[in-house]
Amino acid sequence: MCAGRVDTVHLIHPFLEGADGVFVGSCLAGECHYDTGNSQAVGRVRLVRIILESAGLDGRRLAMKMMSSAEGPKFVEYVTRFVQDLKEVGPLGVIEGITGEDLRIKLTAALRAVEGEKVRWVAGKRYEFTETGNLYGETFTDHEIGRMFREIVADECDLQEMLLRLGKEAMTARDLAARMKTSPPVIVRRLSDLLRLRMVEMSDGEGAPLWKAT
Amino acid sequence: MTAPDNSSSQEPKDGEELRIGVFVCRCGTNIAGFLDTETVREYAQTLPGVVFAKENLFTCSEAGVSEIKRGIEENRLNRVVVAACTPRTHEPLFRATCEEAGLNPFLFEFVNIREQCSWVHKSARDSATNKAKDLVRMGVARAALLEAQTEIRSPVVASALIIGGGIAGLSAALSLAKRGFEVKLVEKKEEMGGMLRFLGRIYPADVDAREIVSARIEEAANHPNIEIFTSTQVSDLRGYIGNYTATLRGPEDRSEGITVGVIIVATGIRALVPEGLYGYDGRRVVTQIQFEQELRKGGDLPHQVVFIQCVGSRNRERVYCSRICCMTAVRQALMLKEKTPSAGVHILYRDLQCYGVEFEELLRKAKKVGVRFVAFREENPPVVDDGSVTVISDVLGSELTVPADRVVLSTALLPDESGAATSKLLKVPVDADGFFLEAHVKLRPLDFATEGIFVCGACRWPCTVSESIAQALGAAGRASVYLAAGEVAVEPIVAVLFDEDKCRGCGLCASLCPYSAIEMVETDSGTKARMISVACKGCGVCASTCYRRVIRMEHYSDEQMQAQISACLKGS
Amino acid sequence: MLDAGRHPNINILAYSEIAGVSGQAGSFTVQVRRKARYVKEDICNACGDCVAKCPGKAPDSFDMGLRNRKSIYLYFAQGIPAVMTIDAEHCRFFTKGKCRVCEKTCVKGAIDFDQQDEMVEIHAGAIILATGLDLYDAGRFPQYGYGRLPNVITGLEYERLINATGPTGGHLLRPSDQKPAEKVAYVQCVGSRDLNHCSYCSSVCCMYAIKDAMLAREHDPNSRSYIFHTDLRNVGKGFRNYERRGAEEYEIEYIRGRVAEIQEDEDHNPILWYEDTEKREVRNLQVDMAVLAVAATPSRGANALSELLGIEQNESGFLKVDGTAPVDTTVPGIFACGFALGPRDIPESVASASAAACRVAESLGYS
Repeated sequence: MCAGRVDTVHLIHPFLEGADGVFVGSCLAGECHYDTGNSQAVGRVRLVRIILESAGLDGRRLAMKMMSSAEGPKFVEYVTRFVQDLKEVGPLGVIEGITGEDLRIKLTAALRAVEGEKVRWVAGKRYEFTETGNLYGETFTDHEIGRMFREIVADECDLQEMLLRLGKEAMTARDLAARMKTSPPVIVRRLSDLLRLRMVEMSDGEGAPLWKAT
Repeated sequence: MTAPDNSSSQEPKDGEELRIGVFVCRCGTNIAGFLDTETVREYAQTLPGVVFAKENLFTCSEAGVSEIKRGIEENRLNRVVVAACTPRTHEPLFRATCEEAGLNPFLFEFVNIREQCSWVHKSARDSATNKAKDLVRMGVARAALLEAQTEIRSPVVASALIIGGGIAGLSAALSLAKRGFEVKLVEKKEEMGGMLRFLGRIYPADVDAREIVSARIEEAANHPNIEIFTSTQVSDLRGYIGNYTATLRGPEDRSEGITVGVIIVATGIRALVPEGLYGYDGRRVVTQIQFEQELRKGGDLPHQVVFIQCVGSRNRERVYCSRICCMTAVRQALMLKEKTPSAGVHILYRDLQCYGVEFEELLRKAKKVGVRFVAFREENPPVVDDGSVTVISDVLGSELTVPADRVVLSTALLPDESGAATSKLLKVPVDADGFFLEAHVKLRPLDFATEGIFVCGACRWPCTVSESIAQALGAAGRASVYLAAGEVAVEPIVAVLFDEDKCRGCGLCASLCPYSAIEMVETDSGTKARMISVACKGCGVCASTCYRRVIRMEHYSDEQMQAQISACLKGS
Repeated sequence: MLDAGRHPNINILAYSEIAGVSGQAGSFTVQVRRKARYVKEDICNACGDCVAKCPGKAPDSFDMGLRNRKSIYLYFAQGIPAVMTIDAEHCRFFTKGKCRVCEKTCVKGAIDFDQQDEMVEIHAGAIILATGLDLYDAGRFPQYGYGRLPNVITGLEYERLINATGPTGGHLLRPSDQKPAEKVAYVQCVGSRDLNHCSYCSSVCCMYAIKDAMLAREHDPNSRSYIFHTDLRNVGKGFRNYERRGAEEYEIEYIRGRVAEIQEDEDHNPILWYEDTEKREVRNLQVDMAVLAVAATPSRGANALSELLGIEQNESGFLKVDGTAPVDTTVPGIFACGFALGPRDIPESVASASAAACRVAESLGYS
């Protein structure tokens, strides 16, 4: 199977099922059996690494290496090194201090983000942005793309996480901010956006309003 | 025009009970020697959906194959998993076995427990056995979700469109026509013949260029299978391999539509006009092509001739070497010396590119008859004065002034202007220098990644007449594979748009498809993607890109892959 | 190779030689001698059990003799057909009359010591020759010391050393002491463009030297490469760009000048004597290893085969063709492609192969 077939969804899913790391192997750069699949995969791996990092997880948990079919020893070397790295990093969430329900929510939010249209659209456009230019003929450097990815993705993951948490129980903006370890004003601003989209609703609580996903 | 039918997958009958059979190969001692195949078999038996599990000494042997068939029949298996060696060698065999037993071959799943398990874990029997169990569990999980598929077939119109009427296009056209295929040969100029119309004798064949090309033009013009369109360009192209519709715009803007099965691109090259270089004036300082005319006319030939190589090539602006200009210079020098033995000829060069057998011989011959060769460096280009050329010799390290009645500039060769338009129209790529970019620079030099479109001659890269003819024959041969078969058959591992209503027509999939296997079409409900299954190679880039998630890869669906990954992580 | 091996219309007769040909275009009868492998091709599945047990040793021909293999062997891992062969010259049973360990090991019963060369007759409408190349004898240049100086090797030997599946696992270790070779010199035109040896240009050596040098650097960032060339020939697609990248990114030094002689110091470091054309003086360079770009010649069997088929060769031994019919030999119905026609790189070889296939189809009237 071509690395180009590897979807961002495929890269997040294993973590939800308990994987401590994911390794993607592909043909050598410029030698993709299907022409461009490996370079597509590079972009997706990069995106998912950003997502993992923005969820507070260690980026080393996702690796991609290129090799030819005649390079068995290289494959062994790469996988061995990856496994060693993973052993250093340890089980998912432990070194990161995110465990149990929090971990599940973070990963589910990440999965929803990559299943969602916004992030998929940006991921798909990466190639165009770097290679052929956008609507206005501008091309972007990898660095610029990385920054753009980071903003959009962090936003989307946060949004999904808020919805997940508010789907389970109603809480105040302050409580939500505390659980997500962000500042209350950011949460309030996002909540009011979501309110306008009818994705959350507000009810009276003791002292402060309670928010709940619709 | 509609894309070929690819809605072939027969959905598994609703409510049908899953009956998976697992065959574990011992491969003599190759697998059984390093892991416990019986344990693997026992384990397989416990997996969900598995109703039958068997060990074979060699699953690929006659006995093993009949055991699979018997297993299918006696246990009414509707999925088969073989845990053995590599699909690269044995998948066709096992698929055929399933088919012979009445099971769709795509309901078969191959698990590799030899190359990827027993052979690489020879000193860890228990771990190898556990890994084999993991692999079988993954295979069974995927097998449960496999769907029947049928081969996709689409007819090929037995006709070829050849773009470019030079030596390459003509040679390809004649080859196909001789074999009984119809050819539409399109030339944008009023006259066929391309570059060779301007040349005299060509080496190493040592024949008159115009004679070769005229003979071929005449042969093509008289061939009942070849239709020639001069002063004509392709203005529109639609369709896919086997079934292209092209619009040809001819003289006085007359348009004509043609239908062809394959396309060969042979749009050729042109020489750089060296405006502003070395005092180029077209009289005293000329190009190789102009000098060729002078040699051909005969009469009073200049007595002191200096060739300057790499004019406009192998420099910052145009890095590449034009391949044939050194040999052209040597050939022209020899022709001059033949006519005027007392003539003084200097060739100022950087690296002499006389590769192979004949051209190296030509070079020796030129040295023998007194042609002088002076190497210079890129940073010290020659200076052309009135009646002389001054150069710093790389070997002598000193300045050298040689007399010159005529200075011949060996200029860079560029792709013909029509290349860019052709590239856009056919959606086939060109490289940074404008030469067509083949599917694989080493292994598939005459194919484009888009199936059904081929390339030959100098539009791919500058080449000699001999090389051009060889490529033309090669491209004709490649194209004829489809024409002769009359249809294209594709393994049904292709992308399908399973929910057209949800497609927003964004075109991202079509722009990323390396094989031009997706076209955007206008429908009553807006722009939609349409998969051209016969052109699809199954890389899956579209499926993993679609932001609406409405493209599925047959045989490698999200569900199938995720089931496999989940099974891997579940542990035994 | 795998595709060819799997194609239902292709029957591969490996380890075989043409023994005789009769007939003419449209109907040839070819006698093929199938050399005895002492292994049944239809039974052996290259499992390797026999190799593990075989007590015999022989130089590994695929690895240019840089290491030993067993007397029963698979020519190379990806080879087609994937079957074992017994090297009778080095097999204990054939040389000493005792052993047969492989026979006892093979559970499939694929070993057959009684196998004889077998003659097979093939009827064919057309013939394509794709006999390729061999390397010129590097030992014929006493000034370069190949065979005498351990750290002077050929380009093909280098290919095996830098290959991950090669004798050193892809590490560039020099033969004398198995220490990493960091400073490597490439000597071009060894026998090529030389009237005493091969008058022609071998056409592929300049580019493979650059590739080799790049691989060395990718492997070891301290590696330094020096390419001694006459004309640096880079006429193929993207080649010149490649050469520039070699200089700019890989710091390859291209030195115009023929190497006059190679000597060595007490540590077996090759010392190259050459004329520096820029400074116009004779200089020397000490390196860890020197790689000779030995001329490529027509395949060793080409002369005999040409005689057998009655086709003409040019003075250099390549098959003669007319420039306007570039894959037609001098005998109708017999076509050729690749290096057998003269030096050329992979894309040109592949293009000529498609051309030869096309000419066959034309000559047989396939439509």
